[in-house]
Amino acid sequence: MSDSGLSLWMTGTGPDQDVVLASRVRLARNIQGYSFPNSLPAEQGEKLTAAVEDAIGHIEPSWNLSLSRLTDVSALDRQVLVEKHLASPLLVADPIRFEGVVTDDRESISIMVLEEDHLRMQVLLPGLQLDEAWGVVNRLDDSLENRLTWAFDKKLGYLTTYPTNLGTAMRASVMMHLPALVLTRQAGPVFGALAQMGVVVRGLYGEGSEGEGHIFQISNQVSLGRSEEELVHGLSMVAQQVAGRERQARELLGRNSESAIRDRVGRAFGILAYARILTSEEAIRLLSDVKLGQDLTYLPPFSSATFSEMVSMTRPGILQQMAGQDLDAAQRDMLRAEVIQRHLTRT
Amino acid sequence: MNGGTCERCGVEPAVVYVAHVVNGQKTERRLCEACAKAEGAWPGVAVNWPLQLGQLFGGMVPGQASKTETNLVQMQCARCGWTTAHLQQTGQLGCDACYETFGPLLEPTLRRIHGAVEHGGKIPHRVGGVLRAERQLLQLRADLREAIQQEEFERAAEIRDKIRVLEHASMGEGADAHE
Repeated sequence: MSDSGLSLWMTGTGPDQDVVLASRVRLARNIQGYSFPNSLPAEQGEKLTAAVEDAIGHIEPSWNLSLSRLTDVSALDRQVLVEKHLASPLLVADPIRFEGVVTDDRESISIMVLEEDHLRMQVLLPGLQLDEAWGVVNRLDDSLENRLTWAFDKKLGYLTTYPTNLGTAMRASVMMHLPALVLTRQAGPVFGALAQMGVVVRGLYGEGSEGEGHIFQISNQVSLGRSEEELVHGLSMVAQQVAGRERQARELLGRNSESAIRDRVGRAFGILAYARILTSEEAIRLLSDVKLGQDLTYLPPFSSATFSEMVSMTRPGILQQMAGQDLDAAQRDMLRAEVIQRHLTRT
Repeated sequence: MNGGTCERCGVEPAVVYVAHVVNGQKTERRLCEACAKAEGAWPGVAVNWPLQLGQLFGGMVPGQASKTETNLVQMQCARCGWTTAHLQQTGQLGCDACYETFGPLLEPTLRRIHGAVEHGGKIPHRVGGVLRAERQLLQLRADLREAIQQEEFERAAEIRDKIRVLEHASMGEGADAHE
């Protein structure tokens, strides 16, 4: 667990962060000779996790990795792992003894043990840093391979539970904040064009999207037939192009609809500054508007916090963890308003 | 954006646009919130691959029993006991050995998803030496063909020498690996 209680990808800075909030590269690996998690007997699961623990124990200490068994992690901390994108909801639901999560001290690295595959290791960095994230996860993969033998086929590549992940077994993704593309109704055509390029956009747009803070995850669909570098480079180019379009759209909004946008972001700021009760849905929607206002220089930046940090701090689990106690929904809504106000700069 | 009515239930207004690209082919759907959640396309819910993969296997999703199903031979993995039925229901395999059993069944699906059926990326170190040499050999043989076609015989001879060296080396490594 990091000292600040938040992960590097939220608090750190990176290239193109005005649009690209974070970059992630994830590799799926299975260990030769064991059944996949869907049909792994308990005693084999125990053995496998012990082997992973051993591999982590023998890795260079500078990685600062440690494994937590999910049965030793409280329900709240498991929720926090999901909110920090360090574990999936699937892994943390109904934990069993041999499931685990490996993280580093900055929470930039996580390895899910016995989720859909034996291991799913990821590196998550702030801003657009896919090449860097691939570099780190590639070295981590090499280091773990010193003690573990991966299930690999020379034709099919790394063997995975789902044939859809075969080959590189790599999923690269960027988390992007695209309010102007949504507001100028360009998100549809842009996502349609992406779809032609083997790129998947998860998320929604249209009426429902405001509630989600205009945040979209864009990732590679194809994992077989191309090298990791090609896939990572391809997605990087896509992210840069989308970021360029988003910036153009922001400029367009500023030029053509300045009053309307100033009104919108000003209202969002006003509610955040004076509300006493805020749900997480309302908070993320208003924070997204305020961030757009900041990017257009209509509003002052948050004091010592990134947008990712602000959004993360208002998630129910992280909010309770920072408060150091369990809170009911009404208490959370009040604390959320308070936390946000601490980071708003009033002019 | 006004998306009309949901393409799944045909009742509720469509608020979610779901796009999937498979091998460069895009399928678009406009769904209402409830249907998007049911199909796992709502953010925060993992995309339901089993369903999609089931669809890729030719409409063999449970409850959509089709003629294709009856034509399929039931196979079973000798190592873990996974069956064709498991694969159809979950879209998953049970162990690495399953790929030998179900490989032929998967190939059309892989081609549809990835546009390829052969790995072109990283090779693990443990089995790497031999494979890396094999991949290099493939490349050299392609270069050799090209050189001959273009009547660059001097270059062809050089490449042939390289191939010979590599073939000897990889045979040695292969023998080592079996010790």
